[in-house]
Amino acid sequence: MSEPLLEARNLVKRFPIRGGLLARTIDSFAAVDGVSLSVDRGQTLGLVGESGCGKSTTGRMLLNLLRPSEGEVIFDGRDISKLSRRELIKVRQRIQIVFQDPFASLNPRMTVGAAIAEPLRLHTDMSKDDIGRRIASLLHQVGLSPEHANRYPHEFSGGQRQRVGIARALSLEPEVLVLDEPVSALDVSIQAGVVNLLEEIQDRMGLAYVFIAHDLSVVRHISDHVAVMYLGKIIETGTRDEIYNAPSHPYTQALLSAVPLADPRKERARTRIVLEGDVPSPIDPPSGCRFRTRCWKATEKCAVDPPALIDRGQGHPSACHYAEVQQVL
Amino acid sequence: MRSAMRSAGHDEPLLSVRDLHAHFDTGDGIVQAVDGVSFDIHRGDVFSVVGESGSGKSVTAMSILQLIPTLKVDSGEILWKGENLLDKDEREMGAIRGFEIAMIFQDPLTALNPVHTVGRQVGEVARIHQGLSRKESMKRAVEMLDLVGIPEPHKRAEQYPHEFSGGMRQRAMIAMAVVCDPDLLIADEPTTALDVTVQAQVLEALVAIKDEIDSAIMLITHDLGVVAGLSDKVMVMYAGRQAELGTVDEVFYESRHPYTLGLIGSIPRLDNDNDEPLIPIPGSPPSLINRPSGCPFHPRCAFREVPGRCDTEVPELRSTDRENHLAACHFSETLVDIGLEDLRERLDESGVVAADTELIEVPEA
Repeated sequence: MSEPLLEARNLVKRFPIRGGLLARTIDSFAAVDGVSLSVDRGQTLGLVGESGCGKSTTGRMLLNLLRPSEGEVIFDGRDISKLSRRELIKVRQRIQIVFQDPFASLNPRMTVGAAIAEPLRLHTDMSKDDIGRRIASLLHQVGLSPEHANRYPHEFSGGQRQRVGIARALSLEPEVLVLDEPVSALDVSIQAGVVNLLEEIQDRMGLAYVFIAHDLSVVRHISDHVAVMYLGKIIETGTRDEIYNAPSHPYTQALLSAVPLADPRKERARTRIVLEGDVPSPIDPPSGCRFRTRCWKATEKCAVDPPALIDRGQGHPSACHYAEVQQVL
Repeated sequence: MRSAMRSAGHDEPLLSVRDLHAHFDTGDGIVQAVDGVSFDIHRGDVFSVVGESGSGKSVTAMSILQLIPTLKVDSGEILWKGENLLDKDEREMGAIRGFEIAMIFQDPLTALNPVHTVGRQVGEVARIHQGLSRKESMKRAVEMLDLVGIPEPHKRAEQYPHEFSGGMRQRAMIAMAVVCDPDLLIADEPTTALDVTVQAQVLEALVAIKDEIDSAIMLITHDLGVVAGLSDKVMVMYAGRQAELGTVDEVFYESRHPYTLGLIGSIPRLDNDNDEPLIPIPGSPPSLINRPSGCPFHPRCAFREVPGRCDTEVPELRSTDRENHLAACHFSETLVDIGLEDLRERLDESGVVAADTELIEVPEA
């Protein structure tokens, strides 16, 4: 088998906890604690989990926007988390990110054309005319019209701004796109158009996507592989069908079971696994298995022995001592 | 006692909104936020209002309690137990708000006062409306917190909002809303800010409490999943108007408005793995200042007849093949037996611009 295009090995990100009079660092906590994942050309890895699980932090480490405290990110055979600034700039052309709120990442005083042109001006020696043509073609590719280049971000609707964000990310013809909640701020009718656009672009350009989202339905629609995170760790991973049709970790099962289906008859017939309590603080995570405080299967073993993310016979890796496939949809 | 009242009251709706029109006067022009909306809510019902941002769903709810000073009601009636709330003065409305009709907002952190304990705030409603003493109202608050499933309610009542997690705060909001056993709970996106596992807990608590106090719920949401799971009746809104109104099964399985069908086609499904592309609704919602002529949905509609009735004549909300299943579409009959695949084909053939290329109209400075 060939090497994956992008691979993360045992990523850890610790953030300092400051306190006292001088705001000195008194301790630290791991927002991401030993995450490994990989994505191939033309494939989409969905990274799902609830707020605070570390999915966005993981995404930022994949581009070295955040430097990992431990672990490595291998892209094209090199560990990009150890690169010099100059080398990193080169790699960044090939891995791009799209954020949730494109309005926050677009300069309100810059026309949309200028925003898309910026990476081209910085990273290439294209002529002004070539850049103009490239902008027109990019706008066309994302379903906007070339005349839009002279307009300002506030003239665009949410869905259109996200299309501009995608056009800008595509400008340098990257090989990997990290998409951090790209559609969660959009209304459903608009969201569908952006999801379709992302799929078309992937088919056309053979991009690899890391699709970070909390919406399990969108992730099912767009992903080939899925990794489920809880409190800084991946707790289950597999192909899309393995995760959705044969979930084996109690958290994955509870998560899938909690999502209401847009189908009244199915909803009425459904029995829901309702978890107790909230996600514990990552500053002081439970010992052993981090999910045990909300888990109906938890035993004494779970409190002392952190379960490894391995296949215990269910067909794909799951970080539960008592992993067992149970259909919940 | 209430169930006895209900059987005596027959089918009288608790709330009956009749042809409500309301607008905001903004610097850029008149925003007709609610444009001729009528519906009834009966005791025991979960009545859901669905729509996208700017569809008027929240404003419709807020207009019932007259909570937005800048919203001007032009005409219509809001009949609460037979009396028109629009004729009431501020003092009379004060006696209804929180007491007979209570509201649960999306963001509990902005709705809770950070400098008072949760118990004091939950109990405050009972102090004001029922004249309970401070001690009695605190006792009542603890009972309510217990009722919505907050563990250790005695301890929790003494804490401040920042000590609560998001899900706990939203439960506290529900507790606050139900202190006086209201007859109607208006919940505006009550779980939108919550994680999905916590959402499931909160929705469960909300429905349990509705049954416990025998009230009705008006649920405002954009999430069709939440609607499917909880509702008895559903009202779909678009551009300040009703697009469709019916039972939850009618609206989901026999949609008679192209917008409803479009919403259902837009959402990816958790429970199937077909790899067909989603069916987005072309274009974007219209500006409420400068709305399209005729049917407000016609620029995005795959079933429109343009030029024709759709761009000239505003469709009235009328009965479809079932008397109580209403839709505001000139051609709702043609939607019988139309499924999502038909919608996909129609969109491909109809020539409705597939791309979302129209910019927001920015008023000249």
